[in-house]
Amino acid sequence: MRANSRTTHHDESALIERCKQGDLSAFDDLVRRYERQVYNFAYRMTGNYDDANDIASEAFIKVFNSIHSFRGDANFSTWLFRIVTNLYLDGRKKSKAHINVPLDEYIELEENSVARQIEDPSPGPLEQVEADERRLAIERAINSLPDYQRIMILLYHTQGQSYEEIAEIVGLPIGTVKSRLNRARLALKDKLAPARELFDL
Amino acid sequence: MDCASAKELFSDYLEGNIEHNQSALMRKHVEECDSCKREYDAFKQTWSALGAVSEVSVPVNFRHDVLMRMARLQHERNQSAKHFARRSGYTPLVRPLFVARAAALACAFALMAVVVINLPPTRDGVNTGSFAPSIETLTPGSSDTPSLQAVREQQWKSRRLGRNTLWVDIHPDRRKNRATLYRVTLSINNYAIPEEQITARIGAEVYLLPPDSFGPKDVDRGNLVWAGNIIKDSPVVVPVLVDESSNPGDSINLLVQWTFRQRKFAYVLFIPAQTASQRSLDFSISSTTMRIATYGLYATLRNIAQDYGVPLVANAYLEESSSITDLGQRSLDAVLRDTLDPLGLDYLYSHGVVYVDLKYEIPS
Repeated sequence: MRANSRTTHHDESALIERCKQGDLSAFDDLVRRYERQVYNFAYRMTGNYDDANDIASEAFIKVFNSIHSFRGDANFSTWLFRIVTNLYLDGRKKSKAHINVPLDEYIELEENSVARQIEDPSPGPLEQVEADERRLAIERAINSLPDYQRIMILLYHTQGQSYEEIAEIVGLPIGTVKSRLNRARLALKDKLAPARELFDL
Repeated sequence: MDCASAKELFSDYLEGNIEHNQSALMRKHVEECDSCKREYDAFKQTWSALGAVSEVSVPVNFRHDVLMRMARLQHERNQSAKHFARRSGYTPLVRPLFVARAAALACAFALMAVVVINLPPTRDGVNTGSFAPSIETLTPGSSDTPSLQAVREQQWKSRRLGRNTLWVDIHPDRRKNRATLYRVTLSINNYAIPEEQITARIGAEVYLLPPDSFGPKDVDRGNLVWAGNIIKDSPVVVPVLVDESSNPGDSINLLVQWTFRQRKFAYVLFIPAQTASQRSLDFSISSTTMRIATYGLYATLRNIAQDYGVPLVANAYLEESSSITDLGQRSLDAVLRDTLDPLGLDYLYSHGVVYVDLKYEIPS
């Protein structure tokens, strides 16, 4: 999911400069670059499409509105993920008790559909069911983690961020990030234990 | 190497961030120690599963919506520095092009006060209150008695969560070769929401599309006339100016889109207000069109039963992987107490999905 070449960084700096001038087409390009990552991160963080949509779009708006405060030498994606993370955490403080809902939520619409999950390509019906159950098991397990653990697991394992980048995104010391991440992984291992036979390789 | 030290190295090992001799010591211990081998296997499976979390696709309108919002914010910032001439009843909410034309036309004929028609909710099996865009055409009459012609009123019920659309063909009055001003009134009518736990947000957009558009998917080819949120008891009037030179062709397409959002996992419920002529009103969470994650539905049903204080009749079904069980039609309390509670949340969660149709009757 990540592109990290030097030329990409150079292109990105140019885009950011143009955004600072209020150039909407540059903003459009930035959204194109990051919408997949941001939306997926928001989706796995919140557990539903609606909140993911809200947070993802808020994040991009916020980025453009405060682009003047972004220093060119800093890492843009870290800054972006920090904004997304804080939007989620700030929203959680305001809302009431969080009910963790499994991710098999599906909303049918008249015209355009909301995002659909990409299915595992599996040969037969039994394999399909098992693949779905595996997928569901890990997703449910992730969704049942406390906020910070879930965020760090997602950043590391689905967004490919390093410990240093995660430390900057969540605003914690790197030692804390490592130990909490490990605790989260062990918690996930325990949660998957009942479903272990699904995962036998 | 002892067990504790070996376990501490699992992550580093799987990351590839481990010294050669540490790695060798750990591997040796894991091969020799049965319990650590089990631990390591489980840890490794978890690590692999994390690497295989599926990706979801971004909704097709996402980028467009963000850009539109940003464009509107920019526009509002630019416009706030300017001064608008205000005529009675006319609030400029449209782009500068329309503003200039409308200002010129406002001198030619007086604009009438808008009659906002609050349409009562209609009954059918799936009624979630009404969100009613209505479109009236104002065309100039004689100079001293301007006339109001309601060309078309469309009532549109918002049946489902998510995006709804209203698509209207407009036929400007070509014969008289005049510009026509339409008012699109967006209002929310007659609903009750228990606001402490369930919130609704209705965002709406109005687009003007060229004549050869086929449907909402052509929205990219249209001009965004207005976008914003609609609040209960605050109808919004959007003037839409259509004339020959800016929109050539026989007909124009007007697209109104609006979205009900589900907030967290509470369900949006609209109970139509009681009217004298109606003794009972049906509404249902139509289970054939919406699947709700079981836990969310259960929590919501509990809240509804507690908060509404009206007898709700529920028809519930439990769908498991190979069968559907009719849980019967009883009061909601009874369904919860006799059926869902005993099954237990974990069972429901792991075994199936519950569908519920709810009806209520206003006590006589």
